[in-house]
Amino acid sequence: MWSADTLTPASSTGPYRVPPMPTVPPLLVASSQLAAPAPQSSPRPRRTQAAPLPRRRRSACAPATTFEAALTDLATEGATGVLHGPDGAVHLAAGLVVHAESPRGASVGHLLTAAGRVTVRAWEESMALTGGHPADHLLAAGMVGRGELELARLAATLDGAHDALAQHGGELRFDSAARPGFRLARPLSVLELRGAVGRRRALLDACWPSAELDSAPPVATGAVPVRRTAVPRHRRQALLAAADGTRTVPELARLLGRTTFGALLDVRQLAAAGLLSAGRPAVLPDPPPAAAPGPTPPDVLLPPGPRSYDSSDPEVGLLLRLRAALEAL
Amino acid sequence: MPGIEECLAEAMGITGALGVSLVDWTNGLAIGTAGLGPDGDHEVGAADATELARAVTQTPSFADPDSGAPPAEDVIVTSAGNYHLIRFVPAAFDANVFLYLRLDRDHANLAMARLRLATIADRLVLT
Repeated sequence: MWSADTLTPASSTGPYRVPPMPTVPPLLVASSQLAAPAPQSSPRPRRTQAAPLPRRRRSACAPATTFEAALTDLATEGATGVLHGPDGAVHLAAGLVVHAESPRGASVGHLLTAAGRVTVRAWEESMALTGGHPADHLLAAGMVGRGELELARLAATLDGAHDALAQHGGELRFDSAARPGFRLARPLSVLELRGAVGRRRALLDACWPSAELDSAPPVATGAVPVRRTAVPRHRRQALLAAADGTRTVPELARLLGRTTFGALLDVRQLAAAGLLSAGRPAVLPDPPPAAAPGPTPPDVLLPPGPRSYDSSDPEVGLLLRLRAALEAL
Repeated sequence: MPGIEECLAEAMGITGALGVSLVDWTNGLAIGTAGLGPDGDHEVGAADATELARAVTQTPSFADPDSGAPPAEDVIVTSAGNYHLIRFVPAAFDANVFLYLRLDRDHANLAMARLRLATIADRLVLT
């Protein structure tokens, strides 16, 4: 028995091959690193040459937004400085990404102070003392370890890049004099950064394919979960307690000492289980009850007649959003 | 307080170690590497190990969500020639990273390697 993707005899050494895990939708993979998830036996080629497609070989890597395009151009020139957009900025050094930040994303300071590594006062003193470049001071004072500092820098960079790379059409500005307060010990190429951010977006969409709760403040439904989630209990309980319908996901992340991406991942998983919904219904708003004599738009999935459901019921609302998400697939 | 490179070098000192990498399972990025990756390619090894790590962290049966803070401790895969050890790093914030150690089965002691890798993962985020 040959699986469909093994066309060459050299790669078919076993009688049965486990199919690849479907966690990453192939259209959303922007990098070559995960672009070949087919479980080949050794030796594995980086790319299969078997099926030439009528498109440029690297078309999947073409920049998707104006920010990505500008950043790619600057990296090609080996530029040093910071590319600003309205929703985020990416710092380059000799064409490599050393830092990124955005108003929605968590900063290194947020992460270290929330984790209890550094008090807010010590952080501010260190920032003032070092002119906004406190890394060496924090290390020398023994407030944070080098491993943890690097993980915090990476988490903050990826959080910032998540918003920065998505900017399309806004006014961009490049400042070649600015230097970031933190820089990655191992800088990333722009292609690596875009691939990493693209795979994070794919992971979010695999949990719950709706961006509704990325911007609308989530609220706990109080419903019985429709399925188990993998979110650890104490994180689930803290998030549900804080989700009161007024805080957005970045605000929840600050409150709980999490990265914005980490909070978003949990929010989407809890939304998929029916435990969180948008505080203000964004997908199917109810018509005003007093002025509703006009005919509602025809809905092909329902028989004609008055709506037999109450879409203010959270469980019905969940089903409606599920249907909308499935129809959007 | 060791940095990432020192921790990876220490992991390569485990008997039978072939290669080790520190990987972010939310995006498959190999943050640091030492030794040789599978087929000499750490990037592909990190991407494949990420699939394995996600299968554990994103499914309630494996993540054991009612027991504790980290989604899981280890993933161990054994094959005819190798042991593959994945150890999640218990960072205080959402670091979402794991150490992926590949061992030569003829020379490695799986139980000992698991304990040493766990110690290294803890030391990585020690202040």
